[in-house]
Amino acid sequence: MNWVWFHKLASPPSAYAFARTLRPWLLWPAIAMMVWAAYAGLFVAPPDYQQKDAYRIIFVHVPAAIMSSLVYTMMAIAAAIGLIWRMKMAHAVAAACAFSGAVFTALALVTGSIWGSRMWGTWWAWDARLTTVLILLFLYLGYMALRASFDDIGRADRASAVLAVVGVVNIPIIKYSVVWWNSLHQGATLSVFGKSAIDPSMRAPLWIMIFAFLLFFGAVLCDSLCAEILRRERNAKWVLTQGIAKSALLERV
Amino acid sequence: MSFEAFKMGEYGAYVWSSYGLTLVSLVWIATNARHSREQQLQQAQRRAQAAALDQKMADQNAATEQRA
Repeated sequence: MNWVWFHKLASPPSAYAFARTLRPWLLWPAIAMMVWAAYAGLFVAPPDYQQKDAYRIIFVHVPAAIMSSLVYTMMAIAAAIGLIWRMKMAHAVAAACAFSGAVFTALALVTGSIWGSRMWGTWWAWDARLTTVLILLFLYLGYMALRASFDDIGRADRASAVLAVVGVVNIPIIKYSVVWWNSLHQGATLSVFGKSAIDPSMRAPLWIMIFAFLLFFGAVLCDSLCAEILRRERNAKWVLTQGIAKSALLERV
Repeated sequence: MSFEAFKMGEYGAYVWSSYGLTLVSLVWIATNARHSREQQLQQAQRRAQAAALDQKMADQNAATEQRA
């Protein structure tokens, strides 16, 4: 198999062009799927026999929670690649993931609190799952703060990459927190390989929404990565003289 | 679709506030990324214009020196 196309992604101008091309193919299907899944989750799926209509928060809470862990894992893998193989583009991908991941994590915590306020009778509990997700939010914020504290991009990359890699130990703890400890939080709703603990009429909108969030994050990552590449390559010849500045006017149209 | 479907029993406020926050968050993520990219593009355009101006002046100076 020809892997030249993959190795080309390590080049900033190639990665920039690839991200610009890919973005609309991710964004518009994501929006369409989100609209469908939201409609199906809100109005088509039947109410739960115990939680009645309150369970419908699951269609935004679970995708946000899954994305929070997935984005951090991706960030940590990119950071590790950057540390081991010293690839600048890997550090750029890690940096581009951070803000979105933090927002997904905060969203998961807030929607979970809203859901818990009715179902558990409390907005917050120092439960294993909630606490570990809160730690994840602090890891995201710490990563961004650490990056911002360095003037030199190279040192910022290395320091923040170490934090990202060390912090990834939190991800399996989040996943298995409901198994290892007595937790208010319910166990896994969905299973990729086994039987899911959710009715099929509710499962389809949930899977579609999860996939929509994934595509949406992909589209946002394309934009963030382009900004990160332009920031890092600001003095590079390809930015100044290969038409990108001229095409900026066209891109805004 | 009746008004009762929107009320969702006694849970309407909780469900709709969750969906509203989700929409706001997703829009925030998307606009933040787009704004960052636009900002970097504008800075790149300004640098390109400054570089072109510098090059033009350098060419003019070289031409003047040659005539002299």
